[in-house]
Amino acid sequence: MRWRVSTLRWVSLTVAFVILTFGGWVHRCWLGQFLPTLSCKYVLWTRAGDCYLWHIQRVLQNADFDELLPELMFFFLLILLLGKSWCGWICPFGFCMDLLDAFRRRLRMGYVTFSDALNRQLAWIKWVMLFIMLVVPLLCIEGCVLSEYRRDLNVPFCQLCPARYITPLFNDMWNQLAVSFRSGASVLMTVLGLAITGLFLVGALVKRRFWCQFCPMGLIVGLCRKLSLLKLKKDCDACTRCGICNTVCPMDIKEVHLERKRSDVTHQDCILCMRCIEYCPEDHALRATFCGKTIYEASQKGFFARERSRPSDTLEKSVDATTASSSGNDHAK
Amino acid sequence: MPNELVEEQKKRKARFGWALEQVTRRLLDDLSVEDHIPKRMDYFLNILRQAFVPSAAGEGPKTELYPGRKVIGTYCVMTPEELIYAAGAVPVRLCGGSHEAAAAGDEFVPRDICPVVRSAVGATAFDLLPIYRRCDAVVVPTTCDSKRKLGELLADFTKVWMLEVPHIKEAERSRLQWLEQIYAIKNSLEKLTGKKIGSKELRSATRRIAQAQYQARRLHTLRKADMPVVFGKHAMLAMNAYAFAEVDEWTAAMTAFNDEIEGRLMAGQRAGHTQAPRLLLAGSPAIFPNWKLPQLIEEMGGVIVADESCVADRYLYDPVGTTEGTMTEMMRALAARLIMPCTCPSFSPNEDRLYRLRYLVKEFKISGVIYHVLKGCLIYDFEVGRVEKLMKELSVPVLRVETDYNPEDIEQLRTRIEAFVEMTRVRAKSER
Amino acid sequence: MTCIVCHPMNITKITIRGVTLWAIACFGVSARGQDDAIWLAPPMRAFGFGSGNLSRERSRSGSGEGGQTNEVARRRGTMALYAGKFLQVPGESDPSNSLWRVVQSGALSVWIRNPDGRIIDTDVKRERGMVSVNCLPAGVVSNGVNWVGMHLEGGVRDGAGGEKERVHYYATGIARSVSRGANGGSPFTTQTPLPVTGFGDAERVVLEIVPLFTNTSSSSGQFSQMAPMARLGQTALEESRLRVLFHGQPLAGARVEILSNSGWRTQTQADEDGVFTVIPPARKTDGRERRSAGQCLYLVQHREALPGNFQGEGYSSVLHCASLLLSVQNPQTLGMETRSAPAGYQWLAVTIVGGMVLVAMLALFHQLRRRRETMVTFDQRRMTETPE
Repeated sequence: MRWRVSTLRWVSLTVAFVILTFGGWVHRCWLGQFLPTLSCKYVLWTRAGDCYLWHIQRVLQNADFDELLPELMFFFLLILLLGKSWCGWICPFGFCMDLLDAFRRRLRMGYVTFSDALNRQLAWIKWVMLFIMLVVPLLCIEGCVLSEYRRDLNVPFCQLCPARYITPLFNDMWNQLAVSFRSGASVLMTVLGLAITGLFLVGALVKRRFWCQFCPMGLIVGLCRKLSLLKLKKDCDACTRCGICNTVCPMDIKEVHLERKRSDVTHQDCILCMRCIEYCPEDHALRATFCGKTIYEASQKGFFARERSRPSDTLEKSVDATTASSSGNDHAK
Repeated sequence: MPNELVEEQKKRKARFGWALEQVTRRLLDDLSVEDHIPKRMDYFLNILRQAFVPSAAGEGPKTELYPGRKVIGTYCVMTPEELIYAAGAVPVRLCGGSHEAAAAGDEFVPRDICPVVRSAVGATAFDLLPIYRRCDAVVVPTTCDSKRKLGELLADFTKVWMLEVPHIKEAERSRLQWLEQIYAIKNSLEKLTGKKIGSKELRSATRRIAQAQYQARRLHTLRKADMPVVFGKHAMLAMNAYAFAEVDEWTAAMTAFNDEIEGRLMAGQRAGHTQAPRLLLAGSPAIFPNWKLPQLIEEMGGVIVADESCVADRYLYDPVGTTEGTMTEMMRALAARLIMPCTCPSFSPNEDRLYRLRYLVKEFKISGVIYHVLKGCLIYDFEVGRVEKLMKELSVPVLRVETDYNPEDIEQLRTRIEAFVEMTRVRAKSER
Repeated sequence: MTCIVCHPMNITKITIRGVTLWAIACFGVSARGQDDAIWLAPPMRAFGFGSGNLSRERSRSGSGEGGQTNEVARRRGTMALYAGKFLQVPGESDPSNSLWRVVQSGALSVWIRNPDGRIIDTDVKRERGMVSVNCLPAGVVSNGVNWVGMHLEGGVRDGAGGEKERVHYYATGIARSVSRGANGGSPFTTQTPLPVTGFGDAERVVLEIVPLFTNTSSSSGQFSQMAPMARLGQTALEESRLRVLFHGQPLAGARVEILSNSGWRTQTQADEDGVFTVIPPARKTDGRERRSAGQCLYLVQHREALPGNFQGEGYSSVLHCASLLLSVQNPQTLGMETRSAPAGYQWLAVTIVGGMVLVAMLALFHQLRRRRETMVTFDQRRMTETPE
């Protein structure tokens, strides 16, 4: 049976979501606290794996570097193994955004694309998120500048991350959606976090995978893309620059479409959803490789098989008309 | 206008019309009795006959083409035919190929400009072919100088919509403006036909054209085979016939045509003799009935296995790729497909064309390139140097052939082409 | 004989103890340091759930119909009497254990203390491997904390110095029960202070360890949804003070042995007020942020030189052994207190609605602009010389 890649990806996202969010029901189902994906810790006891960002922040804040090295090793090992497909095939928050996107499509609403200039300006936001994640906990160590805000700024990024507010809802846990009045800092952080969450709920309904261009986890995984085993490769000679890969890309990446020299076109923003490969109409122009071996390739046949999967009614009638007329002409000769 | 002048005009029109009809009829008849013409060519020849030789249909000139529907004339490959079909109208490609019409058009335009435009003007002004006047509106993209002035000229005779194609498609603002143009033409079509183009209609039209594109690609792939089984003059003619046919009928006929070609491939029925060199016809498009170059080349022993003509191979090559059926994405995808992969030299820069040529040479195992330049076609002539340099790198010989629609230079061309074909044949043989 | 204890928190630390670890056991001293004790605890095996940490059981029982049944079931006979080695995972008591035989055979009295101080007798049910205590006998009032006290007659046996001694075993514990108010809500919130009592009846339970802290752990916020009960327990990494009472009076200098089922153990001595402090360590988790850091068992013995006769046997001293089991939980890290959900919903609603309105306006504006534009039509020249 031939599976379409987008169906496969939906299945993978659903399974990963179910496991990561509800896996705790199964005894001893624990995948580790060093996962390179937004499997939020605030889902609490039903989760089967942790987003590593929380632990990085705790480690930095407590200056407790005992277990840091082995965990970081596992973290980077997982990143190298699957690369950016953690974002496109596994991330539970990505699943939520894809659900909202499917809802948008059901409503037959179009989507928004940002201009290049706007995208360039928005690119710095994920670096700011990374900064908040790494530097603020360091400043909260005992004796440093922000140490009196330790309690409230102990996991600063997690208080801004929309995944923290949204994924626990699937477990009927509504009290993350609350403003914490414990102190001024916590009020600020939770209000900001809620505002960001609201913004991203709206954004995911009008732009595909809205959060992914601001996500620091995506940034970290994206920075390692040269070393990861899963890559996107292009045959620049077979490419006709038709721009279909740019149209279908949820992250609106144009570098894959424009590249004319290099063969490795895994972009920092790319979530390896492989829609570009699925919709590319030229044979072998785009392919996904794992350890150098091609696992999925663009094909002309595949493209047109999908386009023709529902032939129009008029075609069948025309076939009869044409055969009749051509046989008529033979007689006329 | 005084009566004598009117009579004079009528006589001239009749003269041109009669000449055009005779030439095309003879051409079509010659083609249809050639050996090794696929049986399924009948449909395409018929279509061309109906367009150019209306009296040959048997019942007399067709008074009403496409009754009850709007007909939109198009020039260039950048017009959105998907939108036209979605509005329930019929697109007809009006790029002219007739020498007689070009001669008629000399009255209105300078003699040195592109014969495509001259022919189009002549056919429209003198009503030489019924389809030209039947158009309810004509879409003229602003690709080259000639087309831009053509649009202004045609406004005297018919309703003209000029589509401003960006010349620099790398710039984002140009592409955004192009998208707005596509929306504008969609609105104009809706107003003209009185039919709303919703996402469902557009999706259905895109699908119908995708079927046609699939068959075109099939033909493209079949011509890649090591053994050529169909002559370029026949394959290109089948593609050219799309200009005057409706998409569904054409697709059905093309399916049958491709099936026959495949059958030939299986059975090993070669077209041309065993040592015929594989040639690429590049440059300005050869538009029916200006069929002298394809016929000449293949008469002299070559086989045209590939071309980059915008009325042949490039006509239906680029598909629309969308993931969802929303209007936003489909319009965006449509706008992209019309200009982004287009290698017409009216775009600057036009690096993509060199990549395409290289791809064609490699995939089709081309041993020689015939670069056709129409007299007055500045943009194709401009790129000859570049193409020659590329072909030198690929060690493929290039022959630049400058001609127009006049049949008087056939003999000179014959000599040159014969020499070139022979040269490439020998080269190919020695390389093997 | 040595007993090597490897603390799982810190594998570099190896504690080597001597053989006379009398503090470990309430029952006798043997050549091997034994962890035998008798204590009261909520049953680990309850209706087929198997052993596991309490938090998971609680979590399962916190919501849904299945959870309801478990809660009700556990309220029906929530405490169990265990005897044996505490450091093993407690489940069923080992029938070959000598202490267990004493439990099965000796005279056993169990009482429940109402929040208002009234003591009620309750009955026990001896089944295979478990002695369960009925914590809801008639007359019990459960709108607060109920303490359970047990006295087990150990009889007369040979003591350390060759003389005969009589042994009493006491165990106390907290029966967690809360009854829902008339409106179905829990009467306990963080604001309700819990009384500090212990079992408190010196006649029945002569030697007792009494906690002096009243912190309730996280009965608000996240966890209250799952376990809406007031819990009296210790918080790891925080000081807990307890007092040893003998005949109702503080017992100065009492040596207390503290065992934890995470493997940590320590000894300490009460001061002249009978008070000792302990800081339970946080349990190193296997990655999950567990609420519970395990359980702590406090054991104390006191020898009284009081000769007498018991069932025809004479003895020269009396040994009292008491135990108290408290649960420890990890320090609150997730910061759930003082949240205001309505304020949160307001912010969320404002941003969502505001965002939607903005987006809708832009989309409308965009669409209207696009709908208006059409192709420019060239006007036909007025002076034409068109041939027809």
